[in-house]
Amino acid sequence: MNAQPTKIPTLAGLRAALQLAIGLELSTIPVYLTGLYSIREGRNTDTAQTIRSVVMEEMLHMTLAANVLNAIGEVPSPKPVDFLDRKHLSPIPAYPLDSPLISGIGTLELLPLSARAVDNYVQIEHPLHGAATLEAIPAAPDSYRTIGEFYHAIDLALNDPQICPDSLFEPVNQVPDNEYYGGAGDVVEVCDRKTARAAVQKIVDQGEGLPEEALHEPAKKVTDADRLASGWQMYSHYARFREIQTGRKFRPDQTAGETPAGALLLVDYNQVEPAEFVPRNGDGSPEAVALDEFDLAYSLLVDAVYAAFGGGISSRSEPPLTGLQVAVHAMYGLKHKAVALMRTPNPERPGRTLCPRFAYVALGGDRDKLIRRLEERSGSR
Amino acid sequence: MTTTELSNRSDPIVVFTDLSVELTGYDRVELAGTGLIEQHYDTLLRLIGEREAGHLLQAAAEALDADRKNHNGEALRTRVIESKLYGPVIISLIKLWYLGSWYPLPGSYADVNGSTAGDVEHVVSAQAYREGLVWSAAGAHPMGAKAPGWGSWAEAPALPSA
Amino acid sequence: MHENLVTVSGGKSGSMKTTGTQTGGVQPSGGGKEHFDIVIVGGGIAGATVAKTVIEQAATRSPARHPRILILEAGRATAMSADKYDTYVQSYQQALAKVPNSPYPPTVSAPQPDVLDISRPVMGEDGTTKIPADNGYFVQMGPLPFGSDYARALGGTTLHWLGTCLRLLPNDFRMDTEYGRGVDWPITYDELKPYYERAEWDIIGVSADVGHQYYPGIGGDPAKYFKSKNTGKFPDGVYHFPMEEIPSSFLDEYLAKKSAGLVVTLKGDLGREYTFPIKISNTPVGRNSTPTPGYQPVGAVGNADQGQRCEGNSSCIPICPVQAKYNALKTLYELIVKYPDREPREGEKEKARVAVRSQCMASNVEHTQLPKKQGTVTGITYLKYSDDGSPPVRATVTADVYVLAANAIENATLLLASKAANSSGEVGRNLMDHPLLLTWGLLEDNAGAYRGPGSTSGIPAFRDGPHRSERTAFRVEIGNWGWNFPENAPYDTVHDLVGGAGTGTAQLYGRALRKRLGEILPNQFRIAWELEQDPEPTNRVTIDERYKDSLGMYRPVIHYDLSEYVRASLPWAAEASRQLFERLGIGAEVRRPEYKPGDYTHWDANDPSAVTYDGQTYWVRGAGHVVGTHRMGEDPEHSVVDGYQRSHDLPNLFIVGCGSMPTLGTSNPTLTMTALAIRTGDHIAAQLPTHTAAQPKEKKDA
Repeated sequence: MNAQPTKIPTLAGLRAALQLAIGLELSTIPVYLTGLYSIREGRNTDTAQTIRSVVMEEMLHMTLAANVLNAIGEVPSPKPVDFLDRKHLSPIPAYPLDSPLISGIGTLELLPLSARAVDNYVQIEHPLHGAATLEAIPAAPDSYRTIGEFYHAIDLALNDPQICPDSLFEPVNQVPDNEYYGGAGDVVEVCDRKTARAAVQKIVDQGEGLPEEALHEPAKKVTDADRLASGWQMYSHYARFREIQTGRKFRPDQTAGETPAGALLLVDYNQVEPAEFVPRNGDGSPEAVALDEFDLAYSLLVDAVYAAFGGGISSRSEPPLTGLQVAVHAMYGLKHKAVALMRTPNPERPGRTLCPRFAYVALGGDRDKLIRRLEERSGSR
Repeated sequence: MTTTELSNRSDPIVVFTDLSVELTGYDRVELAGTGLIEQHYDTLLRLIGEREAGHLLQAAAEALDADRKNHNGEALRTRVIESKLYGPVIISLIKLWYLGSWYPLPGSYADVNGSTAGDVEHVVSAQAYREGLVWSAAGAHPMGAKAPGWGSWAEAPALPSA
Repeated sequence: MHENLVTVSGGKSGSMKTTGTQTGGVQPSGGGKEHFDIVIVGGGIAGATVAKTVIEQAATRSPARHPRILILEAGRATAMSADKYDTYVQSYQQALAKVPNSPYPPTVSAPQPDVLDISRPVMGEDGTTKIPADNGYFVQMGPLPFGSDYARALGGTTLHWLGTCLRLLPNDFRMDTEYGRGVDWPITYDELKPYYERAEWDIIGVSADVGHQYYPGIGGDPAKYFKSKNTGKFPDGVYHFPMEEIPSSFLDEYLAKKSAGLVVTLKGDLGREYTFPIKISNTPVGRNSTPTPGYQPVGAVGNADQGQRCEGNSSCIPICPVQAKYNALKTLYELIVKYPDREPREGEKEKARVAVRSQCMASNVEHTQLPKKQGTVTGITYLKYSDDGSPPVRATVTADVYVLAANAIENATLLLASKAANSSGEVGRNLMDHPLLLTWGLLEDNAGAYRGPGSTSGIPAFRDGPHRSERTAFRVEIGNWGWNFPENAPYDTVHDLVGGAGTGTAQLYGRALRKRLGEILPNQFRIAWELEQDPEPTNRVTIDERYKDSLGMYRPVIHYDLSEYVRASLPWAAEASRQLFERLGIGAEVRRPEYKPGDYTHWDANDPSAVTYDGQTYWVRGAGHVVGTHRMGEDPEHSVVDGYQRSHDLPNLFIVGCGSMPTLGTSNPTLTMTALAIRTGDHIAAQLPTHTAAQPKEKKDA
């Protein structure tokens, strides 16, 4: 099938697409974090640093997508959206996840660091998600074969004055650059069409939706200015994950499509907690409670991130912390909880430990029930 | 569901875990989350000797059984905590969990049972330090590890539910 | 020339022959001497700052000048990548006593002082030392032990500093004129101000809010005190720091609310009353925070991703795991990345070159100085050791300009050993620290102790004012880590609660223990009252044939005491603390192992740091602020260096660091040291001879 990628014909469609783009960026984060947090303290340091750097960029991408969406008049939200003719698509991932939007990406699973997990990372970040040609990827209506196609459609719509007149763009609720930190690159504060497109381009350049041609370019082509001025260079997610996959670094003269042939990159899949994803089963055991607690913490984090994208601030401190700062604390807390879970044996699966589910429990009835259950439980502890 | 329903009650590491839950006030998942159950079990055996550890765990298993039946902690208190024989070991074990360091047994204990080479004050491991329970009991984090994030110290403190 | 050198310098370790016999198996290195533009002894913040400043300033000269610089570090190389740095974090976590030097093990050949070694010498009734306390690196002659340490490793003591970056107050530069105490500096606050700005922006990276600096002695207007002459960078001279202030801790805010409106009243001599309005002030600090536009925080060495913001690891001292806190490795790393010590590659522009050599112990400053005359430094001799059983190798390097930047005490011992730069007789004298009095209590409420940087705020009220003519000023630092410093908490808290030391039966365990710890630990707080110490010639570092280390280097022999002027402030600090604690509702005296809200401050007589004044015992700890020993001044008879830290005796030698400070004020000295080092760097850059050492000239030996 030689389908043309789905066009986004309306502003409503573009806004829905950006809501889903935020969710798309969010959806890769737990996949990578599960791998990262499964690494035992002090082991696989090179691999951990690589995964961490990619996660930081995914968070940056989420922020960029949110800045664009805010600038075209819609507040980011975890609520389901209608995209073109498809109804009620949730931006928030539930694992294992088959993307509602990108058919080529495959099933996103939460796995501790392993050869299979890294294969999945490579597939996510490969321009064609591992397919030989674009045409080899089955297409579905109102969806995209690759992340690249998806962002291309968003860019076309942003560039179309019929959909986005100049007067539409306003710098509302922008997460400012100085609130974002790490080597992931600058946050683009969006105030007009140019900056909106620059924000999308930045996502694409760093890896999400890498064009196929990139495979013929130098593997270590720097994707972002070395803004920290320490000789620390970022190259594409794909190339970085290929290095872990093959256990070799790229030589400077290689292209991204080649097999890395430089120095050994030492990866030891035994220095990893044997975590195993199990679906929810509220049996009331301390293990089940701990998994529920994680889901609640994760849900609060997602809420905090969306609140930050909505310009929210916390009044709990003096002077008030910004929403993003609160979200950052939640993020750190979540890490420590995830590490603890992955050390905890699953009584029903000898030799396996618990694995955080990264299950978002929506506000309302389900959330209330979860909180009640945990409160009862902590009273009896 | 209690641990003993899950696996063999005489499995010493299960007894050790159950005993540790009662001594620390942290449940078995919280303890497992430290990744230290086996390491602390090994430390106990290494530092008091396997034979003494066997006696202690046997006494603990029986007391915990009795307490489960009676729904209180009386047997553990009278037969283990207040025992002349086990009491000093229990003190070191509590501190091991809370502080990540081993504190030597008193001379009066060593006079009866002898002393192992390792029975001196020491940090058992970097992880034992990082996962010391005292930090979470304080609503904090170990100094130099498990950072709570930029600006977190400005937020109102909260103690994790006990 | 060589023969000359031996004869002229004359000193024991100045003579190759004699040094050889002292240390046994030292091997002289073969070949000629290497020549550099600048040789710097010491790879800490002062040396790194001088190097960076000279390079950047000399490059702007016309024609540009690109010096070749050698930095000699006595200690080990520490770490230049994040994973290696992590091993030091592990070393800290595994250390039984988590003292400042615990992550940084010394080498056998470069021993370092450790606070665990502090013990008290035995004094005779006539006030002389009967038995020195020489169990550590220092030889303590008393009557009080010098209570501070430093790190001998690449990066120096900034590896374990807290990061406090307070400027000195204007009156700190004119203590004699203003209060008839100490001496005046040869420079004023206004003269140093532009260098403070550069230290805050270009070297350390300081986070603070000008408007929240409520200092006395600045005319009540922080904006005026900070007003900048650099109107190009700061329009209208309205100064701001490169990063926003580090958020104050919840504890700071709690104390600010509780103490609102408090005015401490203290009685001075002749019944004179002094009043101090208490206002809690967020402290400027070299710790990464939200940048202001145009500033890029510098993260961890070798992993700039990390440490872009303080993450609240609560271990600034002894080690910041993410390097959000400045350490000199950052500046050194920048230098070796930007200015590698190699010939320019084809097409590359010529630039400066920096070589860093660790495990190189400077053993002698070679010079031509005759008694009471000026001379010239002709080389630095050092021993490169390996600690692998083989003897150290001796080498001498030459340069156009020499810089000693090896910590105040090490600069002093090296100069004394070399019989250099000391026609004033002031080398080693006027050793100072901030004698530190701790008070601590248990608050009525959970104030969230053990979270955040070691300190985020202080009470500046006592830092300046008329009281300084009768007793010393002091700075008040609010600590965020509970009773970690005064009571070894949380360890001792757990020991108290579990109990059973005598009975063998745990008093508290299980959920009751967990709950009780939650009621006590977050309510703990402490305050450090850091007293300004005045310069006294008798507080001094000396050397003594009998005390040498394994390389044959002189160990610092230290005579130390507190003057009446300093001691008179001890009861004041204690009284101010009492008034504050009263206001906080914790005035009642309580002692461990009982736990209820109250004042737990106690100073027993049996502590090595005990000091008695007016019948009352106090504990006076070291603050790690090692200052004095080569004071700057205009008069060569009474000072070692001039206002540019240039030796009066040896004009091609600069002696930089905290040792140059004539008085100490109440500011942690690192920021001032850095400002002074920048000023020195500018001066050196302007005066460097125009040839370059990148292509080493033939250095004639005769």
